[in-house]
Amino acid sequence: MSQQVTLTIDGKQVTVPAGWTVVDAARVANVHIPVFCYHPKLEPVGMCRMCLVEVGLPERDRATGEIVRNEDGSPKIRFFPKLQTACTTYVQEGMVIRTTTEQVARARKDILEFLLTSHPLDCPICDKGGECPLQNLTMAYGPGTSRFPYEYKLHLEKRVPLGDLIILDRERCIICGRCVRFQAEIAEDPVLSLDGRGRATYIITTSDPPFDSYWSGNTTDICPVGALTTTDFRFDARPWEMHQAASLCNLCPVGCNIMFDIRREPELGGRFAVQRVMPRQNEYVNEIWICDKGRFAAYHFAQYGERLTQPLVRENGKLRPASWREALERVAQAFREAGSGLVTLASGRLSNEDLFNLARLTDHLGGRKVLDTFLAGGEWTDKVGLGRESDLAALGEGDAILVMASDLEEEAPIFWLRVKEAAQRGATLVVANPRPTKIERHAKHVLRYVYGEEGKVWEALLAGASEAAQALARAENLVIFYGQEGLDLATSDAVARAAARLLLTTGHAGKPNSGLVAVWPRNNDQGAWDMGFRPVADLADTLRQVKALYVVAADPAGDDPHLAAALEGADFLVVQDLFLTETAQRADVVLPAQAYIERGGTYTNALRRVQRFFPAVPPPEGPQPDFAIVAALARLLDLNLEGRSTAKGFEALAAQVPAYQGLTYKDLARVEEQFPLVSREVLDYTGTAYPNGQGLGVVLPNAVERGETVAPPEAPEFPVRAFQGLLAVPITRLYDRGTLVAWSDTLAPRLPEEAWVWVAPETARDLGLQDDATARLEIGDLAYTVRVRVNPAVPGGVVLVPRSVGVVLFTPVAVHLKAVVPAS
Amino acid sequence: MFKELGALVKGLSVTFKSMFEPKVTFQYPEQKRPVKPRYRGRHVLRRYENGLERCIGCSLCAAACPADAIFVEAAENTDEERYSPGERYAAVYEINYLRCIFCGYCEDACPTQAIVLTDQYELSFTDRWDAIYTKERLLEPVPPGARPTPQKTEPGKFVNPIPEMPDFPEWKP
Amino acid sequence: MGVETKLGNMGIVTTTLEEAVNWARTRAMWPLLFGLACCAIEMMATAASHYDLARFGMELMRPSPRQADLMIVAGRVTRKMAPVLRRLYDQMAEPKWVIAMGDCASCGGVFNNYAVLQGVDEVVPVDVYVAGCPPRPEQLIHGILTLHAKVRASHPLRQQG
Repeated sequence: MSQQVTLTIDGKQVTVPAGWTVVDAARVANVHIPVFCYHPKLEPVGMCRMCLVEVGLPERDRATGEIVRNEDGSPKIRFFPKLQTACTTYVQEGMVIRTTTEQVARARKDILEFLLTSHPLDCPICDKGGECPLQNLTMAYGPGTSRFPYEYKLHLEKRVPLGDLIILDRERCIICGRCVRFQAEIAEDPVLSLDGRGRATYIITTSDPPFDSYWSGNTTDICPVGALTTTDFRFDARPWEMHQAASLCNLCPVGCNIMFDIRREPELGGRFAVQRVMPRQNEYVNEIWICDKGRFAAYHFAQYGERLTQPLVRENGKLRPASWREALERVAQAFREAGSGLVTLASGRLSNEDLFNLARLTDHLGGRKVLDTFLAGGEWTDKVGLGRESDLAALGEGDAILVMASDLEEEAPIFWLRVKEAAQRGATLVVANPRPTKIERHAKHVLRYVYGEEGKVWEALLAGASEAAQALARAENLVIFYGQEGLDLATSDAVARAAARLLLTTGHAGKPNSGLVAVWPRNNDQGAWDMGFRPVADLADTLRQVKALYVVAADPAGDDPHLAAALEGADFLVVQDLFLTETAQRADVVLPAQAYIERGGTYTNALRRVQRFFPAVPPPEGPQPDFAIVAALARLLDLNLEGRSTAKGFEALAAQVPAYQGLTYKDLARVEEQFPLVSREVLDYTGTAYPNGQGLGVVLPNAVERGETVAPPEAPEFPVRAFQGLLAVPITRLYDRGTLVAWSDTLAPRLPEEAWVWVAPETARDLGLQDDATARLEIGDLAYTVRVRVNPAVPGGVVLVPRSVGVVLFTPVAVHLKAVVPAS
Repeated sequence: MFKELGALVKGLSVTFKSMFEPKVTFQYPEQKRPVKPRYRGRHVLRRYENGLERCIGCSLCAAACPADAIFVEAAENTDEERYSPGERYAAVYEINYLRCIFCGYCEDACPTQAIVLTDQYELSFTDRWDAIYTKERLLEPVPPGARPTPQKTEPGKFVNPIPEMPDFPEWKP
Repeated sequence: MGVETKLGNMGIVTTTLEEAVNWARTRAMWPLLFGLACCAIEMMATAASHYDLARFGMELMRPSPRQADLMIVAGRVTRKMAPVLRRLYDQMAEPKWVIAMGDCASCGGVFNNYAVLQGVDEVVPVDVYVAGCPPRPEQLIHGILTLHAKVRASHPLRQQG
C-alpha cells in the first residue's frame, strides 16, 4: 500500500494515496470539481482551466520547519494568492482545498463563458447534445447568458473528416487535447496533433492514411464536446431516445464489455436496431476502451447481413424452405443412423451454453467433437491459466510477461494495451517473435527466432540460461501470452506444453496474476475447449470419413476449397448458421440460428473470465437460438437438454464442467465500484463509457486451484519443420475480410480491398519484385494474384500473408511467388 | 280538475315558449363552429420563405412528447441536396395521430418553430396506419416562388449549423 | 341478416337494393354508449342540443346491446374491462359497427402500459378511429360521417353471397 495523505476539501477530511490529484481526491470526498481536459487515464495538462480551486498549505516556520499554529492549536493555513488547477495539483498532507468560494465560482463562470465564445451552441443538432460535459457544466456552473454575440463567434469548418471513421467539427472543439493525448499516451499512435496557436489552434491528423489507428473511436467517447463524431452514429439518433443492452464484443478473445444503444430504425422497417456500440467499464478486461473493429463491426453482420430466415432441406438436389419440425426430424433420423459416425464441427463463436448442449448431444450419440481452429493448448490454459481473482492491472514492478508468437495489437488490441500498461508500470516484458511488432517498444528482452524454430526459444527459456529466462523465472508473477503466428496445430500444442512447464517448474502455476493465456482466433475458443471440443490435425481427412457432419457456426467450405471437396465425402451434412455460407449451400439441412445480439449467453474470454451478454434486439421471426435448436434436436433423439433459457442451460453446465463448478448467473452479475470513476454517471464524463451494472464476470479457477495435481509436462518435442524455399506464413491483421466484419459499411473503407503479402526488401529483390507489384502466389494446387508490399520488418525468405484477405492459408507452408508480367 | 288543466297549460307553455327561442344546434358538418384562436389541432411542419424546411431534425419534439407520438430520424444536409438551412434535417418525421394528445409541447420544444399546431380537427381514420402522418403530409406547401426541397444550393451560403433562433434577443453595441 | 340475404343474386335489382339498405342503415344507427373516461363527456356533449346527434338518426344512446348498431368506445379500456367490452359486442345484433373514440380507445394513447389495452381493436373489429384527446364533438361527428361513408361504400349482399 502506498503512502496515504490526509487533506481537507470544503471542510471534509479525506485520506487518499499520495500521488493522487486534487480532482480525484475531491471525487472521493464527494465534492465536484468540474474538468474538461483532465481524464484520470491520461496525464494531466491543465489546459482548460476549468478546475481552478483555492489551494492552501500549512504554513511552516522558515527557520525551524515547524508548522505554524493558530492560537487554538490548529495549523495555520496559507492559501496561494491565485487559484490553482486542481488537476495538476497533487495532494499533500494537511492541504486545504476550497471550491465553494466566490472567487472559484467566478472563475468557473468566466472560463465557461470564454470556452463558449468559440463554441457554436448548436446543441439541438449535436450528437453529444444530452450527454455533453460542456452542456452539463454550463448548466451547473456557467453564466445564463453570453455577452458575446453570435456573429462575433469564431466560425470554422463544421465537417472535417479525420480519416474514414471520425469526423471533426472544428467549431465545437474546445482544444482540451484529450484526443491528442489519448492517441499519444494510450494508443501510442500519435497521429493527432494540435496545429497553430492562440485562437487559431486546430486538431489535425498527421498520418497517411489519415487517423491511422485502431483506437480512433475512443477519442469520440472522451471528447467532452461533440467535436469528434463517428461516421457510424453521426446524426443517427439522440442519446436520450435510446435504451441500452449490455453485451460483449464477439470479434476477438478479449471479450470487451460493450453496451448497445438501441432505437427503432426506419431503414429496417421500424424494427428495434442497434445504433451504436459504446464501451462498458470493466477494469479487469477493457477498462473503458474498445478497438475500432468492435465499435464499428460488432453488430452489423447480425443487422445488415443476409440472414437465413427459415430451415432449408435438400430435395432433388436443391434446397427448399421447410418447417422446423420437418428439418429437425430429418436431422434426427440421419443422426440416429450415423450414431458414432457423427462429427460435430463447432467454432468458438458460440456461447458456452450452446457448446455445452452440442457436446452433450454429440456424446449421447457417441460422436466426435471437433473445434474449428488451428491453435491448440486449451487444456493447458485450463490447467495453468490465470488464477482466480486475476487482474492484469495488478501486474507491475517485479512481475514478468512473455508474449510469444503473437502480434498482440492486431490479434487482440486490448491485450496489447493491458500488456503495455503493465510494462509501463515496471513489469519485465519479454517478446518472442520472428518479426518486430508494436508491443516490442516496451519489451526489455526481444527474442528473435526463425519461423519453425520455436523449439530453440523454449529450450533456452526452459534451461534458464539467458537473461530473459532468468527474468521470467525470478518474477513474482508470470503471465505468458502465446498466439498462432508461424505455428501449426502440433507446434502450438508444444508451445503450450513448454509454457506450462515453465510456469509449473518456476512455481508460478495456480497463483492469481500468473498463468498461461492463449490469444485465440475466436472469442469463445476457451469455452469450446472447456466443453470438450478439440481441433484435429487433418480436418479434411476427418471430414471425408464422417457419416453425418453437424457444422455449427463454422464455414469450412468457405475457408478452404480443399475442405469443400472433403465435404463431398460426408453422407449427411447439417449446417447451423446465420448465413447461407459456402458450407450451407452444400448442406442437406440448413438450420437458421439467432445472432448473439438477439439472445443471451456467456462467453469465456482468453483470460478465462466468464462474462454474460444479454439479448439486445428482438429476434427476427424464424431463427432460433443455437442451444434451443440443439435441445429440440436432442429431444427427438431421446436426450433431455435445457432449451428454455440460458440461465437454466448455464446451471446444467456448471453442474458438469469442473472449471465452472458452482457458478451461476448471479455470480457473473457481481459488480463493484471501479476506479477511476470515469463512467457516464459523473457529470464530467457523460457520453463516455457506460458504468458496469450488469456484472464483471468471474475468472475460472485453474486446475491447480481446483485442487487437482498438475505435474509439469515433459519438455515437449517440437515437431521438425524444415521448410524448403520461400515460406508463406499467415499473420492475423485486425482489419481483414472475415464474414463478420465484411458486413460493416462503416468499417468498409478501412478493410483491405485486395489480397496482399508482405515481403522483405532482399527477398523482393531476389524474386525480382518491386513494391506494389502484382504477383502470383502459388500455394500447393491453388494460385492467387496478390499485391506485393515490401516491408523491411519482415524476415528474409518469408512471405507474410494476412488471414482472411483473399488467400487461403492457415499454417506456414512453402510457396512460390512470381512476378506477373503485365499482358501488354 | 281545472287545477290539473292549469298545470298542463303551464307546463306546455314552457314547451311552446322554447319553440320560438333561437336554435342552439350547430349544423355540423355544413356549418362549422369557429374554434378558439389558441385551439390545438393537427400539426404542420413549416417552411422558410425560400422553401427550405424549418425542421432541423433535433428530435426535441419527440423528447417533449408525453405520448411518444413523434418519431424523427435525422440526416445530414449537403449543398447538393439541401432540405434545411443547417447541417441536419429530418429524413423521417412521423406523427401518430392516434397517440397524439394535442398538448402542444412539441411546439414549445421546437427551437426553430418548425412544428405548429393548426385548427384542423377532422381526424378520423378507418385504418390505424392512415393515422401515422409522414413528413410529406405534414409539410406545408412550398411558398409561391420558392423551390421545393431538396434544393441545390451554392456552397458557403448555409454555413451556420443551425438557422438563427427567431427569439434570439437583438444585440446592439 | 335481413331481406338482402334472401335476394342475394338478383343483379341490378340488388345493386339498388344495396344502396337502399346502406342508406337505411346510415340513417338509423343507434349507438351503444360505452363511456369509460374523459371522452365520454364529449360523447355526451355530442348527443346534447348543441350538436344533437339525433340529426343523424341516432336518437338515443342505448345501454342495451341488443338494441344498438354502433358501439362507441369512449375512453381507455383496461385489460379487466376488455372481456366485458367483447361480451357486449357479441351481444349486439348484426349488422354492427365500432368506433374507437379518442386516442386511448384507438391505441392506448398516453397509457402505454401493461394495464391498458393498446387499442380496442385487440378485442373487437374497429371500423373508425377518431383521433383527439378527447376529440371535440365535431370530431366524433366526423368519425360518424366517416363510418357512414364506409357503410355506404359497402356491399352487404356480395359479402353474404
